[in-house]
Amino acid sequence: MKTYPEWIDEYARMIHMSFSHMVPSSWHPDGFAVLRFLNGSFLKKLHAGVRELRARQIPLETVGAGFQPSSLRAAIYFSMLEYQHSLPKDKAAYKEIIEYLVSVLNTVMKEDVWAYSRNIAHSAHEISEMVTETPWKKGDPQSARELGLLYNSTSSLVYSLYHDFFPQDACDVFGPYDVSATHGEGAILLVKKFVKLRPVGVWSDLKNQKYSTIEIRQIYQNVSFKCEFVAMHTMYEGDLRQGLRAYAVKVDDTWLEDIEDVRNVRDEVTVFAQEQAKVRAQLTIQEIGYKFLDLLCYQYANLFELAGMDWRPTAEMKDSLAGKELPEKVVIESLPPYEEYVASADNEVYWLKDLYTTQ
Amino acid sequence: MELILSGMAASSGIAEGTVRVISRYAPNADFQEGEILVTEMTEPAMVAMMNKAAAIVTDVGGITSHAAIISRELGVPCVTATRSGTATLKDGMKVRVDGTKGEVYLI
Repeated sequence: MKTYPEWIDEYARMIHMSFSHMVPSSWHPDGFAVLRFLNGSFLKKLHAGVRELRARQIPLETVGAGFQPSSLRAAIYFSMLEYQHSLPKDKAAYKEIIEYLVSVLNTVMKEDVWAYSRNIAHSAHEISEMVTETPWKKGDPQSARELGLLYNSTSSLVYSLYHDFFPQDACDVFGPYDVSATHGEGAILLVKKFVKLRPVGVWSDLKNQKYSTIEIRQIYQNVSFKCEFVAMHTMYEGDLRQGLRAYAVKVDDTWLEDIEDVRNVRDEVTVFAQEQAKVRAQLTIQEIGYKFLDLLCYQYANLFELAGMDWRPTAEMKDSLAGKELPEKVVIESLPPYEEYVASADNEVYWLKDLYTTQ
Repeated sequence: MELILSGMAASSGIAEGTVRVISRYAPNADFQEGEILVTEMTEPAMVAMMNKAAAIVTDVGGITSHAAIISRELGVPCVTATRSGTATLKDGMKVRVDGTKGEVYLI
């Protein structure tokens, strides 16, 4: 008989499937090592935040509104890894943290909470509003190509700002939403949303970067879409160029008028992305480690603000990296088979279930 | 045509072009529109080159790697996890990249 909540099994299936699509050893440097070095010091800060939010009676929905769903799922995952490697383990504190964060996630998602294949975070009413209020432009192969170029340039900016472990904090893809009633048989709506594109708290010199948010809405026919827990991991069947029926692009609350505007924004964002990539390339590996701490905390910036706390890393967190060598690359090639993965104390699922044992 | 390389079929479609092997550490190479971008793995600094590429071939990466995702969004063929793309393919080679099968042919 299971003694732990069902969501742990749902999470486990999702994370194992997701990692089967990835090659972790291609990620550099090894951000997972930072989570090991922290030894629970970020969890202390997070626990203080959760307690304060409860004391202030901040609604879960209000906390959830400060997260993109994929960012919250990834943040939860990183907290699991930090807990897994912390010694001694504060079981009661982490149970409080993880139950709180999962509750928040449940307010954000309408279904498929862990995004096993979809990222559904809008209600039927919200989807209907998007369809009726968006100033749609007619889609065609040329505009599909331009939108792909804009997506690449903005994604590159996001990678330059947030790199391999945190791009989901600034990019999420929502859908697929069924819009066949208004746009024909099999029509789907995808919303690709880039936010936090000017994280001045993390990178102090972003003066040349103009835009804070970019949103691309696309309606397709004859295209199927799926994603995973980080929904920017988009996978399609069908021809995206031939299948685009309608699109709209919003930059900082302004809808773009035509494809020439899209091209102009793309050119600007490409320059920003290249500039930021150069900035990041000049960081030492030690500096990258400290930047990882900034980004780890920045995921929760809105949560800490609601709790009346400074989101920045604590002195204890920074001290945890002092004198430690950050490995150049992640050492994991792939995960073991599912049954072995969930049973082993080498992995986080074991420790999640352990939260609910009484021994 | 000779099958010269195979890997993971990351983004469907077929494209032909001239190979340009790009080091991860030399993103400012003079990459031309329509060339075949061949690299160990794509980086954000390669944004302008990826936007010009007719196809992308990488040594490493899974179906949700940066190269795979972006190639699908761009609608260009991509073959990842070739293991030896950057060693086997040379600048100037004329190739056909079949992203549907995960194969690269010497033309």
